[in-house]
Amino acid sequence: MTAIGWLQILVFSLALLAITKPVGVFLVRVYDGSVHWLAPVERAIYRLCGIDPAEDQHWTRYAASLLVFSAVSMLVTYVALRLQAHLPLNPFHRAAVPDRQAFETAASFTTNTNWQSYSGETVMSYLSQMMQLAFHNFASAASGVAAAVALARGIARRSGGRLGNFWTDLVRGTLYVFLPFSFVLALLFVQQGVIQNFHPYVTAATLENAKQVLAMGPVASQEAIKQLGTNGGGFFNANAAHPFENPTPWTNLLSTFAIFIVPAGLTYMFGRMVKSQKHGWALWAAMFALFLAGVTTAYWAEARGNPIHAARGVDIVASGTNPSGNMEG
Amino acid sequence: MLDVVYILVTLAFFALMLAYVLGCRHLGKEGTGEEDRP
Repeated sequence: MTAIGWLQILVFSLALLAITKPVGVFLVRVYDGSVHWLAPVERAIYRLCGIDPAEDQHWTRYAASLLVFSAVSMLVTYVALRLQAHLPLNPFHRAAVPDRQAFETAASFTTNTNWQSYSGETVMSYLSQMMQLAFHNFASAASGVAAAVALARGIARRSGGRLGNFWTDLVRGTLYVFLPFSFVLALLFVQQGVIQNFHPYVTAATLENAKQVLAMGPVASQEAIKQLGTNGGGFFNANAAHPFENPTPWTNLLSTFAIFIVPAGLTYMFGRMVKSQKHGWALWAAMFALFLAGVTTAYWAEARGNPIHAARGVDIVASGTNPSGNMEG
Repeated sequence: MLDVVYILVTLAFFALMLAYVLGCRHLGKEGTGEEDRP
């Protein structure tokens, strides 16, 4: 463990504290309809889908809408993964995802659980990555936040059982929070060297003259929402330990921070909505205490390094040129 | 071909959840005057 390591955790925590209020206020404004710079798009979606944005749904209707949305999107993903071989954007002729794995992936991504039992670069077509997995990265995050907003409204209104409109919450969360944030983050990732292309995989010769296939693909766009939506399924099997997904310390910091932005803001939003800001900060503090316990334990364990490596002569001690520890990447 | 089974399991799960949620319609209406509505 080093002073700079602890300083990084401190700076990260202070930055998190600093963004909590602005993001929380922004979320309140998004979900009460005050943010409307994409109003024409929003209205077009409502018209196309037959949504009445003025409808204040009873909690049962709100919950039923969430369930119907989840059921349909899960089934579409299951079928699309099974039919992957016959769909476009499949330059490497990936076969259908096996039935059990397609079911598990569809269920897991629909629920924001994102258990990645597959190796993305060898199992999924570009279409499956972008239109199924990245779609759920957006949709499961937006519907999860909608459920959190509905919970806050339920507490704030105390009676009546009406919680707002699931469809407008879903659309607003996607349009005003996740899409713009992801767009900016994806550009930052690309600037740092995260790949974003539809190229065929590249075959490279290693120093030992062996052949190595380097997977390509639209990685930055998927990584951005993966982090912002607190998802888990990345483009590559190795996820953020892969240099095309997480090439620099800066992308690592951005990725870590992106995971925390919306959850931190939600605590402030909750406080604002229930008219008890202390309540919101109490939630923030509870989450932060859990984070702090986790990050200090993980840092201690990672920084110690692997004694098996040390016994074989690998330098695991921190120095000016060695970050030390058990560096997976 | 387990596809049909997986699709039916999914539909059954969500149908069960929906039935439960819609079966709770009377909850949350207490004291609002809505409980007497058809």
